[in-house]
Amino acid sequence: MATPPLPQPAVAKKSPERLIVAIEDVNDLWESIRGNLEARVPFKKASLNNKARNLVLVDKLVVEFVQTTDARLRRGLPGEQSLLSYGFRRPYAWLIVVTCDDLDEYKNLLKPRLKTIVQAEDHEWFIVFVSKATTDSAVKISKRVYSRIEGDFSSKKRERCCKVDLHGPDTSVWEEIELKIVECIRYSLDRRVQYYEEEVRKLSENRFMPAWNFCNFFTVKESLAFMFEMANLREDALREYDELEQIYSETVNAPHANTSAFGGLDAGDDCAALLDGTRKPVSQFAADGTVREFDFRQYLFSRQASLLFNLLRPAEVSGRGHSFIILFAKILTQHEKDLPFCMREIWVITACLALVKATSRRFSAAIVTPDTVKDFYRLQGDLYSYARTKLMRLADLIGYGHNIETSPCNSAALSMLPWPRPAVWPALPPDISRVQAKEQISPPKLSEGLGRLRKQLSLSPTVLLREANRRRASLSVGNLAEMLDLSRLSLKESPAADAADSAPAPLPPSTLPDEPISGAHSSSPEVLQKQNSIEPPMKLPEVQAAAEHALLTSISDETLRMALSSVEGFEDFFLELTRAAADNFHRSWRKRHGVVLDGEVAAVHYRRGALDAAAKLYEKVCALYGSEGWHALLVQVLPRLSECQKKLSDWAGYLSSCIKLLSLDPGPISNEDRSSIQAEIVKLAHGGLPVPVSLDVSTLITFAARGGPPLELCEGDPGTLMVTVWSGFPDDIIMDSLSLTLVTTFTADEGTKVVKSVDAPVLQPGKNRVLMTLPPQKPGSYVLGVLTGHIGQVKLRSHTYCTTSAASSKGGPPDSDDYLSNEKPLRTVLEVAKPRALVEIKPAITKGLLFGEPQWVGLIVRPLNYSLEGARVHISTGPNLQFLSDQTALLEVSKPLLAEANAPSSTDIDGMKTFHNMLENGDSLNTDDNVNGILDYDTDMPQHLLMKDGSVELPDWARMVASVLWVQVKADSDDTLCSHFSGDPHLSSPPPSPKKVPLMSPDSQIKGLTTASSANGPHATADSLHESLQHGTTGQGHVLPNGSLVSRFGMKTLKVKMEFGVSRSRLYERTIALQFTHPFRISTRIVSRGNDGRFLLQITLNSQLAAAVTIQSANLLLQPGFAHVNNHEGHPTPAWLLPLSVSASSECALLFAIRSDPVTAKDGEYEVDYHAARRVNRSSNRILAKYFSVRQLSEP
Amino acid sequence: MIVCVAVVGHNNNPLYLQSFIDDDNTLKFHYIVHCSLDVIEEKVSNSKRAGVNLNETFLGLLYPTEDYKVYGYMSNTKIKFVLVTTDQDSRDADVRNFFRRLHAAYVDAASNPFHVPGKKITSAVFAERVGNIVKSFGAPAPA
Repeated sequence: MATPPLPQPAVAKKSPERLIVAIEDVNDLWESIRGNLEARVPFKKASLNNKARNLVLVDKLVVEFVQTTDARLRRGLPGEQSLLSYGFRRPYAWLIVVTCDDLDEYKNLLKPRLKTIVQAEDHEWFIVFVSKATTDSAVKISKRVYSRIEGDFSSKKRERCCKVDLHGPDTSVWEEIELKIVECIRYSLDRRVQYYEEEVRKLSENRFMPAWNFCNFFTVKESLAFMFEMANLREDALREYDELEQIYSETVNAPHANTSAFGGLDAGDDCAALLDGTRKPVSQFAADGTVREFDFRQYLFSRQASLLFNLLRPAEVSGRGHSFIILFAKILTQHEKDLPFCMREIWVITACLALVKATSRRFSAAIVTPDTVKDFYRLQGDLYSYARTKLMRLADLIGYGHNIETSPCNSAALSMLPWPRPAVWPALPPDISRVQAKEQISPPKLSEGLGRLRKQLSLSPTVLLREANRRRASLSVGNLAEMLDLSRLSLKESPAADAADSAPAPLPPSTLPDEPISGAHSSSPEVLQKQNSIEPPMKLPEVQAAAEHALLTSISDETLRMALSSVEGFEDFFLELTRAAADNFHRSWRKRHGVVLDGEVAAVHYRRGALDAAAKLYEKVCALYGSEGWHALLVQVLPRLSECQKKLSDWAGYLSSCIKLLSLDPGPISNEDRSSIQAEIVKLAHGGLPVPVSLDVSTLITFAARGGPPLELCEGDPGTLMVTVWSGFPDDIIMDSLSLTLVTTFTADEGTKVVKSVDAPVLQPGKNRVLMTLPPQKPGSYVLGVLTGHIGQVKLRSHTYCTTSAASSKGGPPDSDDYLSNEKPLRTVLEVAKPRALVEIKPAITKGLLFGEPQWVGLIVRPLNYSLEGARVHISTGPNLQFLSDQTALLEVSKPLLAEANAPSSTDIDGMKTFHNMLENGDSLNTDDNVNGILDYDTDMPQHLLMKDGSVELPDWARMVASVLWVQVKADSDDTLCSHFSGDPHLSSPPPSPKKVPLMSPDSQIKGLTTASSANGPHATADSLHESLQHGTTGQGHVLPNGSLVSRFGMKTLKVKMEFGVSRSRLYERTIALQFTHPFRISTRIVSRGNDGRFLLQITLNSQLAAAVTIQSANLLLQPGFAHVNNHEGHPTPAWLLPLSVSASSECALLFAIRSDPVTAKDGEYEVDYHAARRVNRSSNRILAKYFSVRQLSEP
Repeated sequence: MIVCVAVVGHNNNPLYLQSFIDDDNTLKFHYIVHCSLDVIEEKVSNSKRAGVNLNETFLGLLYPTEDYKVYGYMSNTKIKFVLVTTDQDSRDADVRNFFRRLHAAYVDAASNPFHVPGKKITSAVFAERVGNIVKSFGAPAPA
């Protein structure tokens, strides 16, 4: 069967060569066993020694069986080719296929022949004995022959024979043959590796000898590598190439290296061949004796790459490739002068794309670790962005610069990347229309609106014109025009105009290209150098046109040429590269790279009018920069985003972008711009918005409550809350309204309350104080929630409330960012207390009031830590109780003494003290009114208050202190029969002033009480008595109808209603029971009775009063029929008894001497005061008792 | 030549960025430093895989580009220092030394009681010190 000829070495490298097993077919048996053997290829389990002499299991060892009669083997016989270059291709095993069914034949013919074959060459062989025997006898004979062969050729060390029984059932023999072949290969390989290594070692040692030639070394080394590759020992092969590369670099970089031609001048060299090892016949280098670096390095890399691909390590190809491209680009830079125009850029672009294409085709994420996957995509992204950078450089060079976004990213990539530096700048093309076309490229319009905030960044390292003109052939002349032009250009060297290619306008129109159009337009430097005429300096359009022409004629890569031949083509290609880079970065760890490139994609979309897509991508970029505080970069993108949003009528987004712009560091944006942005927001807010827009202005407006303890309010009370708002707007901003949510803490139910500011505020830049109206709130603790301001259709929300900080104390806005603490403590700003008693009204006196007499009833009004400002007390009387007319009420500060009588408790006193302390400390509870006013009241004198229809308004000073409200009432006895006490209102004296009531311990109070009564009592009563005598009207006591003479108690009620709190919304009602009584309980007894009808009547007065009284005078009115004995007008006997002091609750008795008087019994001579007249005598005698009541002197 | 020095806070916010070339186009350095944070994160999060000692603050070369080199350094408080240089052959020891001195300068600046942590460093003394460190970069072996 005809086998294809062994390919030529140069071409053979395309596909990996196979190990050759030679078949010495002695008896024409090969065809009978060939099928069985070839079916086992590739060998599954071949163990070979690697370079380090370790046994390695090689799977899929591919071998090729070639008969020795084949022409390929004959050509490779020794002597014909050098052992070094072809030795590794010689067969690694010799299979001698024999058969013999006769011992004699074997002895005479076969054995000598085999001996010849075996000894002819130093190679690894073994004999396959094929038995075709079918009969037993034949089998026996063949066995015998085989044993002879074994005896002759096998040794104890090594089995070199095996027997195949063609008709036998045993198939394990093929496996045995395979093992034998592998064994032979192993031995051959070891020997050859050893041989080559020895050669390599020898050559390496002589590396620094002058006559040393790298080509020889390369040949040997590569042979070794090929051998390893053939044996599937690719790791070792790769190592050989790595060493080769290293040694090559050393050789090239040696100080006195033989500087041979670099290469790269052949057609098509601009298209990278780093993965294509077959483009140049590298093995011919050895023959030529020179190695061109340009070709050789690419060849080496392509070999490495193909080995790595075979090792299923495409990710490593990417990594190595990236480094290789960078390194190679540097090398190209070094040789730039000798290379065609822009060769480096074109090479990099094609290399990157070729590498990306090859690796991504072979890469499978399933078989590697996730880290490797990410790293791979990172490298792909790097390669794409590298290609992208170079593409931009080329585009800029040929005048497409306006189509490149002047972003920081592009600027960073391009402005430090030098312009191409060819030996000679390419000459102008013959077609002048190109130049004109370049001239017609108008610089991009300056962005309107917010776009002006973006900085125009340079995309080039220096002015292209200067670079180009410096490299023209005419420069060597150094003519004046050149100098002038350069000096003129240098004016534009200022960084702003650094992208001078964007401003070709200053060139006078008269300087149209007038130079002779050269016929030679090849970009090759040799040709260019011939144009040695003195020419005026090129203008920018000329430079660009020349570059374009040169590039388009020289680029061999079709894609790239298409991309550079039109702006649209460039943009498409640019977009493709940018997108691919971004996608790959997104798949790796490099989110920032990806997002930034997304921004570049967005820029293209924007230019092409795909605003929606652009806005989406810009949003990502803005979010990235914004989240990490890179404001300088954000300013470059945000205006663009806002432009998109504006054009898309995405008003919410537009306004939010404006807000973001305002909240950036003030550095990049001038104050005028900030003001105009604000004006824009306000203008939009007041018209032009189809729907209301809600904006988050947390970064711009922050707020805080007043420092100190939280505001305390009672449940249901309104109030005001002071909030400090910091505005970041550049100017005053007028809000329609401002509201704030208060969030309850510790309650599960919806705890958000909205409070509004008192008036529509104008927020000035910086600190503002805003007063918030608090409607009545539920009990609980409240913290600040969201501040919302309304301007027209726009709602501004701020979530950033802050606690006090160092910055805010200086007046600046507090730090609203979270650098210091991620969790802000919640500071309560408002405490609304649970419902509780806010005021307490108690009677000062409840018992011992006298019927019929004007009595002062004291009501202790005690605010319980609550202001009674503006409170009004309504008092209405119960049945048989009435106010005296033209009433005024008296108000005085309550003293503990008063409190003690009814509800003595030390806590009350303590409470008072605490309260007084609070007042004195000026500790404001709620309002910061003039607290001193409270202390200024006259503690001596009770204040007269006007009472109208039972209503009294409390004065201001009484709002926080317990006070006593005195009202004068008069009670009628319930008993209709019971005469009233009657008393002249004029008799009444004001209640004892606080001064007279010592504020002392209970003991001393009692003492004071007695002294008071003894000291003042008589005096006062004497007066009243006198008066009463003169007027002839008296208060009258009565005797109870049942005759028991026990005076009755009467319960009367006072209904007290108090309206207080804010706008008197609160009501306190209480009915106070008052116990009225008569001053004395009167009982009579006849002490002794005389025979003459006289008798002594003892009237016992049992004092019901809680104070001592002095009876100044007493007279007994008698009914007709009785008369006083001594006609003493009814004075008691003896007369000196009066005045008589009666202590509280004590008894006294008066004696009256009475006789029966028949005269008086007839007519009604005595005017009987019916008010007081009462028949009291048990013995049915009628006695009229009359006495004066004496005012009690002190409260009970 | 050192073209840019930057200090980046632990939240990846810029604290200080100064370019040292006569060009008002510092934005490109903003971009370079910002993107280098990706590489820093990559290096730090993969330090085990890459066999980098966790205690090592010097992160080495971040960007091997054709035109400039970016080196990184990260303090144990996650403050990143980034150096952009156009030198193609900077000695590792020089760069390490530079970062050590920059770190020391930063520590001093951050110790200023008037400096708000996490805020931009505005201290003129710090800027001057950084300028000196930049000037003396690679001084023992002048290029």
